[in-house]
Amino acid sequence: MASADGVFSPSGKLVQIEHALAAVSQGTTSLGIKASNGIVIATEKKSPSILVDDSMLEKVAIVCPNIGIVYSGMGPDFRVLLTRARKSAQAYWKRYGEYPPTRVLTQEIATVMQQATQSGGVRPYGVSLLVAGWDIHRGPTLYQVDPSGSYWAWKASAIGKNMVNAKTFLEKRYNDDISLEDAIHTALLTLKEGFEGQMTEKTIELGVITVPTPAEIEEGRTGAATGRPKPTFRKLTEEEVRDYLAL
Amino acid sequence: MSIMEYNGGSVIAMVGKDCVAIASDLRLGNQALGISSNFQKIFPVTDRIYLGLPGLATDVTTLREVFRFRVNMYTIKEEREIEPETFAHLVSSTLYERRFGPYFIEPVMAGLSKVATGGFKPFIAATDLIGCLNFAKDFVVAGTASSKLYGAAEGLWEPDLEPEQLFETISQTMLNAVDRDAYSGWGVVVHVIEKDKITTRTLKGRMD
Amino acid sequence: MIVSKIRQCVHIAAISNRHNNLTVVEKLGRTTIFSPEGKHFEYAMEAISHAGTVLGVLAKDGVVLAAEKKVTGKLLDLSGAKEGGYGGSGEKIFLLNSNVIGGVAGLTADANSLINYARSAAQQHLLAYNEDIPVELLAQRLCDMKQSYTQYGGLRPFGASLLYAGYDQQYQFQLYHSDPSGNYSGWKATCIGANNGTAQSLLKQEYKDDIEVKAAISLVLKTMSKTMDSTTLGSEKLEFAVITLDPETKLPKAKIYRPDEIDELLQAEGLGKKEEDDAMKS
Repeated sequence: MASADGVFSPSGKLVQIEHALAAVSQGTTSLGIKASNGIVIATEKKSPSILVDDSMLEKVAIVCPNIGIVYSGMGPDFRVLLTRARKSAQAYWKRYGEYPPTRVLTQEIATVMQQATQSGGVRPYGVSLLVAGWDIHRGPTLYQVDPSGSYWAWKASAIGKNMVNAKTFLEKRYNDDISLEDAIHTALLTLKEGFEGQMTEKTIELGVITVPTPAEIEEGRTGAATGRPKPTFRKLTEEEVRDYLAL
Repeated sequence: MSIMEYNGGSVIAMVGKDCVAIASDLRLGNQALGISSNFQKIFPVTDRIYLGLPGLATDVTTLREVFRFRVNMYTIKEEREIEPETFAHLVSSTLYERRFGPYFIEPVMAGLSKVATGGFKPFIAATDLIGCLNFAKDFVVAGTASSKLYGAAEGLWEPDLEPEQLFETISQTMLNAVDRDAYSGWGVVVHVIEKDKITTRTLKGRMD
Repeated sequence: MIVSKIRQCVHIAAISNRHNNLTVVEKLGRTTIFSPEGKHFEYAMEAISHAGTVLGVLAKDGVVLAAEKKVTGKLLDLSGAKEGGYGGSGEKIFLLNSNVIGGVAGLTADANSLINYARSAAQQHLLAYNEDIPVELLAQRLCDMKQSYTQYGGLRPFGASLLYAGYDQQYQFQLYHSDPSGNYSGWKATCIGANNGTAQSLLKQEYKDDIEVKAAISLVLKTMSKTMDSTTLGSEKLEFAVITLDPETKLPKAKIYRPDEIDELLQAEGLGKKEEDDAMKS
């Protein structure tokens, strides 16, 4: 019944969105922390069975060289949104010769998600997203997008199963001058709080945004040698994650 | 007769020391018949970016309005002013959208772009009518007198000219080039863009 | 998801459809029947009545908009608002065009969609007519769109109300309000969102036809302090904007206040926080 999709309930809520949020709360926890010199996003990687080749499972993903993304909720929905986000970033690059600022890309994704709450015959996306990116005008920024399509900029946030505890944990430990290294440690500690099973480099994924130096920024400008900006977002390799866990 | 020569007109932009200058003639004609000696071809896009549009007059107006639309949307959405390099790409992609039915304009842009350390760097660019970008370091020219502008500019331009010197150089380049072209002239306007001010002057030239 | 659809049948009792295997076409057709649909506006309005208050007051020489932010938190990143050239935290008050400011109450995502549409509509008008869109026309464009979502199949109404504060040469300063049904009307002073009833009656008492912007600002802030849920006003809970006419250029000047400017204003009005409270600011 398409009319029932995204229709208002007497209390003024959109029931489908509430259900979508419920789907997100059943997903594994993800979190993001903005530091003074970067951002870290992290997630628990949980395969349905030990027979699954989990090296192929990607929860922390790159959208464009300066933006990374992680989710909690329904994997397939994330894949679709990720492709849309990547396409949107490329369309922006085609028009302006540079990759979109984080906020602009987040708005585009949010619009896609909102349209699924107001169109006939579709259901909302069952994911919440954490979008982490760097752009020259705003610096590092972290956004959370919900199934409704509303988005907010956060200094630190958590989504998924353990989000309430994780957020409380983060509120206590966060301060505005936190460094990227401390942020990574805090992220791991926060994940550990609600972790089901062993936390190893194979059961978590980490992505990091590092702020480029002014020299690196100049190099990346149009008309300069290569004209391609150095990527600011990357996923940490298993070895790097193992090293951080060992500390 | 080429459509690019129907209305006539030329534009040039030059780089100086911490400044840029952009100049155009003021003629609007209907082939050989001159109609207006007051036709604006250079428009401010932001405080620091100026766009020159030589070519078919109707497209001058239309493109100016199309870019105003797109830059306004950009400004409101991104909550900041567009940078010259980004604007140049916007010009290029807008023109390429009409690859098989192009606007008959060869835009020229001049501006100051923000440097990561806080200062400004001079910026000029030009494209052909379907959006091929040219990021020159010295000068860019377009319009019916372009070949003459190339010659004069090549002869007169030198690097690191101060704003006043740049004004003299670009003015002489423009005046002498348009005097050799029947379809350009009837007045010249010059804008010199520095980080904290823009000086606009109209030159006294031959009105034939 | 199919399971939850069956559960929702209970609300829409008149649509006696207990089957969940209809084709998409048939499903879409179901939305265009009348009587139960009338309820949707009520439900949408219900959503809006829980949203943060937005207040607008029309003065002789300007229009003032203020809004209560509902999304707050220690970890919310507001750094964009501090440096951003156009002000606003992106929750309640938005620049629609150089001559119109919009204030939204209701579902954020729906509001964002409407804001985008408004901005495009304003630019399209500029492209076609080479002048800034008249305020009422912009309100109309949005309302026409909102209305079409109530009439065509498979769609639900936008769950957001808007206040439009703007200036045009024809009618000078104006203030409009539009709701999810696509209705709009012009106001001298009005309020949407939570506690709008209280605010509306306060405004009715205090409003004077020849009020000036300065007095309007005081009136708005006073009314906000009485209707807002929090005990003291501060920039982390308040968004503020004013549209006036620049005396030299005679062009409309839209100003969305930055957090520090809001605090300054509150201090000037005597409504700001006391010194001890400053330590609590994040």
